[in-house]
Amino acid sequence: MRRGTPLTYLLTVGILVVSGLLGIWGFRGSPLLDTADAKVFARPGWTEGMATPSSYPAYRLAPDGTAIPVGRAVLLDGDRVEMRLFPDLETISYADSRVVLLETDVKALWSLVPGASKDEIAGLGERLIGVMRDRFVAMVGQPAFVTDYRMPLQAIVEDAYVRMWQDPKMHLIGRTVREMFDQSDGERLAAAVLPVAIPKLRRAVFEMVVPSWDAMHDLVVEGKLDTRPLERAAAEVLIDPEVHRLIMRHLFDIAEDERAWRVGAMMADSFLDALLADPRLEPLVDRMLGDPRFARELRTLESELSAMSMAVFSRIVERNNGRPDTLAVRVIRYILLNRRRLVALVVKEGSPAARELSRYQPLIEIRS
Amino acid sequence: MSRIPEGRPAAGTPVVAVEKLTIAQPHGRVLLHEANFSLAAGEVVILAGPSGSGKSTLVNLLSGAISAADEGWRIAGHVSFGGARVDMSRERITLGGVVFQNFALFDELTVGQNLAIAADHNAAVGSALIAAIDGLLKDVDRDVPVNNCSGGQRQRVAIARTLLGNHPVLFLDEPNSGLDVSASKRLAELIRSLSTEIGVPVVIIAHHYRHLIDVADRVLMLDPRRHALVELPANALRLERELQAIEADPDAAGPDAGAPIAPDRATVAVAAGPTRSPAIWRMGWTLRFLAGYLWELCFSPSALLFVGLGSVIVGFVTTWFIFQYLPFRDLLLPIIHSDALAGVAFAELRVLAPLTTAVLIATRNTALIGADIGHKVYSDQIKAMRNLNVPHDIYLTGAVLTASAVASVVLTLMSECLTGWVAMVTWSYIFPEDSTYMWRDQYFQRLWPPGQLLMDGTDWIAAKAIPSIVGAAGIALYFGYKPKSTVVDINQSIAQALIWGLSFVLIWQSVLTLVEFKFVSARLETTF
Repeated sequence: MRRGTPLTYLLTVGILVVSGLLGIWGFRGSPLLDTADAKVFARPGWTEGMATPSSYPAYRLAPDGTAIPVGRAVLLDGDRVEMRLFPDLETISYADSRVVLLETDVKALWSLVPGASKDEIAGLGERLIGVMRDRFVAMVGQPAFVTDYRMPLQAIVEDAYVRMWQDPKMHLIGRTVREMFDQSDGERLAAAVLPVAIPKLRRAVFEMVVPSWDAMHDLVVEGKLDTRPLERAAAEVLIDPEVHRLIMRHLFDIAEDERAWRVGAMMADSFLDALLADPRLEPLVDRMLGDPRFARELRTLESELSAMSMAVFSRIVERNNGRPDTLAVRVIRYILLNRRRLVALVVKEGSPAARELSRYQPLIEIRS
Repeated sequence: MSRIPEGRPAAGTPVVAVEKLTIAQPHGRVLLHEANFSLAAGEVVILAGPSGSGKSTLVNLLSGAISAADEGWRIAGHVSFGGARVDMSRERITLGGVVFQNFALFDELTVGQNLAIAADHNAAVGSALIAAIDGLLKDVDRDVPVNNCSGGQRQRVAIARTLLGNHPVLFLDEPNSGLDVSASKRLAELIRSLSTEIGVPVVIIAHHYRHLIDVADRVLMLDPRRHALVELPANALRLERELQAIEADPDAAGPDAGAPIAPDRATVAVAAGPTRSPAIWRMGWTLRFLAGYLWELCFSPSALLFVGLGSVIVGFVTTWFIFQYLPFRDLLLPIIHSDALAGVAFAELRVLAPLTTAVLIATRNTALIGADIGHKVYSDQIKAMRNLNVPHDIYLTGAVLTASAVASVVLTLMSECLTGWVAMVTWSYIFPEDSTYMWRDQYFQRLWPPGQLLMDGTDWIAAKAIPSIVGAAGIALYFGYKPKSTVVDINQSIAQALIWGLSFVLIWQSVLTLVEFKFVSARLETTF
């Protein structure tokens, strides 16, 4: 075996020392920088049951809503959360900011969508409803629907609707919806809508009750009341731009409430269960979808729905730079995987993100 | 060098008697059949015979290089020495110290260390012998490496070292090979005076006996026709005539030579023999050899640079190609960046860095070990160590395996450090706006969670690195220790060690990585 010289020994020591220092730099961070800017906060009660210690990424939101990783939140024992900001980020600090902890659910996903994107989604929602209405009207307006499908379909839906309300779960749903309406300031919505709606409704009622021979005959002889003026007035109220804006805004508020999704899902479940339990439905729908007289309408509806759902998804996931947002993708992933995960956000007060995330309670710092 | 009181027998006193010695080679050929001979103190004996007659075999037998326990050899007979009578079919005999033809000096040691290692592993020699050795080496600087000495000096160092082995008989194997006439005469005189001075019988194996026979007391000639050891006077003409007669009619058997039958194989374990104590290890020498191998196999700058360059390639290429050449990069990067970094970390730190290190170091060290041990075998250094009671299994085998284990840990750790750093720098070059702490956060998110002392899978890395590098070293030792008669044999052993060593590394790493994936995928699923 050869032996070294003082020079080679020195070289060896140099290589080992440099490798070790580079390893420390790579694994633990630059020795020239201070350690991470860490603060300890009280851990929210709703995180109870989550394993400790465990860590989750922390982000800040750029003005366009893009999430930028800025550190890590570590759940500690003893109901504490430690936030560690990356020390080489000069643009991030706790000054004028609050720290919020989000669970990766639909509510968080919606809260992360920038306001402008939410408005676009609302626009798309309107278009979607319009398209569906147009196609539906075009289909049901066809003689083929009236003659072959209307009555059996109506019977199936009516039966399903009745069976749905017979479900005991619906009592709970009804109570929850009332609470949500109250909490989401439903009275304010009613107060805003009524001034628009009342004159139109009053005129309709007047038209209904103004005596006419035909009306009197129908009411007295056949027990029928002509409600067409009332229906027309309700339609006019609903297409009023101001009412429309108020309702959409209210719907979004409700949509951000986690209970709304649960209630919606339960109602849809109940209705669908009742609907699908009807043995008449499947052959009827099969026949209708295969009916060449509706082929054009169905094809158009399908392509428009597909394009619009893609557009809605893009508005939820993409940000102004046209790229998917890393945090939105993360949240969607955990929703799809049905896993309970957290993310922390450092939100600058007064920023657009602060408004969108206003319903999340900021973490309270624990001062030692 | 410690001294003991003088205790050598007077010149001419018989010190070794061999009775009814029969030696049969592994393939069955009988070299000697019931041969008897004795050696007296202070006498010089020429051991002659045609090529292949068994001269070296006889010396190897009496010096402990072969015994009845070795594969295929069949040996019978007794040897008497110092009041003991030993059955050679049951015990290994280490009567003779051998001065090998190529001297078999330990290359990595100085002259003084070559002498010291012999002295440290054998009983202390008397003052007369010390004086003789001092006289023998009066013009040799003991602090220089043996490779710096002239051929004559090396030969005298080899003789001195063998004398320090404190054997009752000194064997010289072709000592005048390659010497000119005057040097050969000087050597003969040196041997004569040394024999007289130290009172030890000297047996010289020589083809070129012209000048040596002048100082010899008698000749023992191996006669392959009769499988006998014939004693002749120290007369060159007589010896020449006998040898010519054998060459003229090699198949002619003598009147008393029947058809010798090889003795039975030994059925019991062959003991070390009463003449020598078992080899003992010395901490100082252990550390010296270990330090040498640690330097060569682990800490030498070339080893470090080897691993360093490999780590740079792994860290750079993996990171660069994944993040620069990702399909639909702009679209996919925000989606998969975090998971991609975690995946790159796993691939780099748990698979590629240990694999690259193991392959590079196994390649380098296998070649070095194969060459080193192969050379030691070829140049009879291993035989010399055995002959000098030096435990080569500890100083060489043990040191090589220990150094390889240390190398696997140190170099893998170094590779992990450099791979991680290069990956970070490469990533930082691709994403100059982003925080390197973000890289660290996402790179280690599954591999090294905050608050954890060691990286996840350190045990797997160790399980892959240590056995593969040590195993490759073991394979190199196996091929290195195989007998070698030419330089080509060394080259072939290096090639075989490389092929099998690398195959072992790749198989070990592949199998373990597959097993590791089975464990990791289940765990990753829960952390995803």
